[in-house]
Amino acid sequence: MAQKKTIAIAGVTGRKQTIIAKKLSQANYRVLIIAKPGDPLLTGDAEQRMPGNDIEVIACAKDGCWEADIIVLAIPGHEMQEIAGKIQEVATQKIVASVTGVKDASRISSGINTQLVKLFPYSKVISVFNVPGSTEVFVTGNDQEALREFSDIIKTAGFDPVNFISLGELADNGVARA
Amino acid sequence: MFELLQKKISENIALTEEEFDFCKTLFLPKKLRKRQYLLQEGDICKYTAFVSKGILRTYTVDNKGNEHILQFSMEGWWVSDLYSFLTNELSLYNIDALEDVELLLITKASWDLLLEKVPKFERHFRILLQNNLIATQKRLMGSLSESAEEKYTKLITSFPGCLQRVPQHMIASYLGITRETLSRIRGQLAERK
Repeated sequence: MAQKKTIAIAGVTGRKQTIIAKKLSQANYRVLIIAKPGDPLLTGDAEQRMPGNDIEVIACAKDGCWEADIIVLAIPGHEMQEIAGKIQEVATQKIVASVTGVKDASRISSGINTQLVKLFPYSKVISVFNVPGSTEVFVTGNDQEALREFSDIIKTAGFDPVNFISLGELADNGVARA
Repeated sequence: MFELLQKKISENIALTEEEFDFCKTLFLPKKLRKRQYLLQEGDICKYTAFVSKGILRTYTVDNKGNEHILQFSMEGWWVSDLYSFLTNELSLYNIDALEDVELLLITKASWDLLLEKVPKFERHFRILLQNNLIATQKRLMGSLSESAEEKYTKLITSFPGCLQRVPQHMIASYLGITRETLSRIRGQLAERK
């Protein structure tokens, strides 16, 4: 029996958050949604909103990421440093994936990758770029095993991962597919 | 988070600050809630875990559904299925949390890297494995030759903190006796005091 892994998700809000969390939960993941103060999810009952799913809403980013095996940060670049300060020490050796929305694939930049690697030097950093309205998401990372594992999670969440070549080879402007 | 690990390591070897900082980068900090699993039977044991806080049990379940507890692991101890961890074979054991626990996990690859980069750790882990072998032999001899009362007395002497934190039926399972026998032994010992 495969052991249930815990995924902490910070930054995705609203209906999209609930749908992704449900899909992951139904695929044998335990999901911790890290909500900001004032998020309606914190005042409601996650079990009532998402009955039958192993999903919990948690206010403390550090505790959520400490429990997690995999950390997903869907937050703006300018907030990344602040959250890194809170969770860096509990993210060591874990997959830390940032999710960034881009208008189209040509807008993908390696800047976020560079920032993430600096903020989480001992984590397995993955960068995910999604284009609104498309199920295709672009994924890159230096740890191949982590990349494979996270690509499977993306499929589970209902998207089609397109893997890049390594972070170091990611062009600043443009997509270089593997 | 790493204070207890540092203290336990320092009992066997002296590390520089730089060496311990490197060591810290190889561990995955993990919290488990009560009743969550660190390892389930049929999985490969990917980690060896240092217990920073809380208590876990290692157990098997036989064909009749009975649980047999091999070990309790408390603060400052390491817990793993070493056979599965070292050989990549499927584990026969379950390891779950009896309380909310805080662990520091290390993979085989990171463990090998630690030994390669900081060879002092060879001594540390040799001592731990020696102690583990001695404890395993003692437990084996105890289960073969000691009476239920002797086994219980030895347990409360060796791990006094364990009894307050572990349910009685698990203590009975660890000792290989029924709950009724454990209850009778406890009653007899209380009368003698």
